[in-house]
Amino acid sequence: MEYKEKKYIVRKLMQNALTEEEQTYLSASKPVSELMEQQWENVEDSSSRDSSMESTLLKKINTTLDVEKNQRRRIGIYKCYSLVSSLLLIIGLLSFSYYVWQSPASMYVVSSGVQNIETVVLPDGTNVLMGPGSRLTYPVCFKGGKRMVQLNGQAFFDVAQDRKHPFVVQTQGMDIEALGTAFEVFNYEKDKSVETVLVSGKIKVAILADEEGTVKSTHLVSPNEKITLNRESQEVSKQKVDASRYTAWYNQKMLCFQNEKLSMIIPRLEKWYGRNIICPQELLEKYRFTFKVRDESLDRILFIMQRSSQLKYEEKDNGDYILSLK
Amino acid sequence: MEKELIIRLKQGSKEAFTTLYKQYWKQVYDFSCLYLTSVSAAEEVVQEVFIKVWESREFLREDDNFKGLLFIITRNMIFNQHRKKLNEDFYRVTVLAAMEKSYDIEDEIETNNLREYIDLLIEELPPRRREIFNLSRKENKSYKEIALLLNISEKTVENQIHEALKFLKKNITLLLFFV
Repeated sequence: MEYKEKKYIVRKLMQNALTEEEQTYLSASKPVSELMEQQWENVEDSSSRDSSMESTLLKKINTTLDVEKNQRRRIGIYKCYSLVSSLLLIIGLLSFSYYVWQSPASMYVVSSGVQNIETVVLPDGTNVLMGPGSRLTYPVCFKGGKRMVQLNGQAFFDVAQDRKHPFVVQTQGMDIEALGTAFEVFNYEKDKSVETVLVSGKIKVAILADEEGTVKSTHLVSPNEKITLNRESQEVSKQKVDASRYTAWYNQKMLCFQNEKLSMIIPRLEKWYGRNIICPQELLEKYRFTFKVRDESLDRILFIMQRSSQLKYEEKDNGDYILSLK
Repeated sequence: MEKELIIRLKQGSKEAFTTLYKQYWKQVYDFSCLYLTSVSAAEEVVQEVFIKVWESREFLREDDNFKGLLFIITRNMIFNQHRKKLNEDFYRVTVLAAMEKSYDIEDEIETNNLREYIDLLIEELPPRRREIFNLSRKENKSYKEIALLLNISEKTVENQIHEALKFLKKNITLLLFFV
């Protein structure tokens, strides 16, 4: 490691100004790594450790591994969905709270982390590709008339054909029903609206009046249509969109924006990186960008956006980013 | 012995996995406790590290150093997944200490300058604070070891190191001009 770098690193280190990349790079660099390895070798016995911890943690590990063994298969991202005849895509942004399942059957909960895409196979053979920071709840086996699952986050469903048992994704405020098709849901806890985009095929969307699931209205959605429910005003609207744009993330396993408005880009960057990006409403609809995200840091992306537009960004102490005009 | 365990783990033996877990989980946990501010985060790291080991068992090589591999997985888990819970002070002193070591002749003079400059700065600290800080910085001791050695509480060590770093931070910009 060069000295100039050292001086730079020490200065930034003390000012608490290292970027994520620098920190990651530094932790894996030879001098730091060697020192850490010494610490690793010499780490003392912590007396405060609970004696039951060994078995408690092992049990938790085994539970996770059992769930994975039975329910999760890692499938090549590229081949999974090419055979699906009708595509259905649902994008939702809403505030979601779990409602208690009616039947007492045992449930699985699968979560994906930041910058992470997970594949899950449901008991009926349905494939689910989960986007970053998402949580899916589903029963050990489907019983009754409908196959019901609950999602908080973003996921693409490739539903196993079974006309007698419709497949329903439940979110607060909106139920999405499909017979045997593939579709995507985008709905995160914090967000206030639900958006559903259909690529092809047909879906029935039920707008719910309350937590008991009383249906207020139902809407049939056609391909390349987006239906939006604003949960605060309870307003429902439909508009024409190019649905294929919303599916790029699972086809390419990366975020991909083609001349998109900030209003589309920012929520997706927020989910992908697990950080808040605050941006004034008037800028959201005004600026458009084209780019793909592979393994760049959020800092890097915002930096490039700053260099190539009228926007500037700053990071606040709490980790939020703020976008504004230069 | 361990080689056999790894071979059996590769073949999918849960028993071999459990044996390896029992042998190494404490090390993963204790190391995580050094760098993380919450005990529950350290527990999560233990789970995530061993789940990772199981998931990637097919890629293990029996001739590789298993303990070294665990270290790398643990370190990456801490710095990638749990960076928000990082014990910043401990991390800072570790990196600082690493920067003060030279690895080749070219690097040596500059590194000595850096070390001398930091020594000079630290001279200005109250003696007790300087002693505590140097035990951490030069001898790479954990807060707990320092507390035992000097017969003070861990909290005191933590506070003294925090204050020492605060002082360094204030004066470090001069580093640009002097070294």
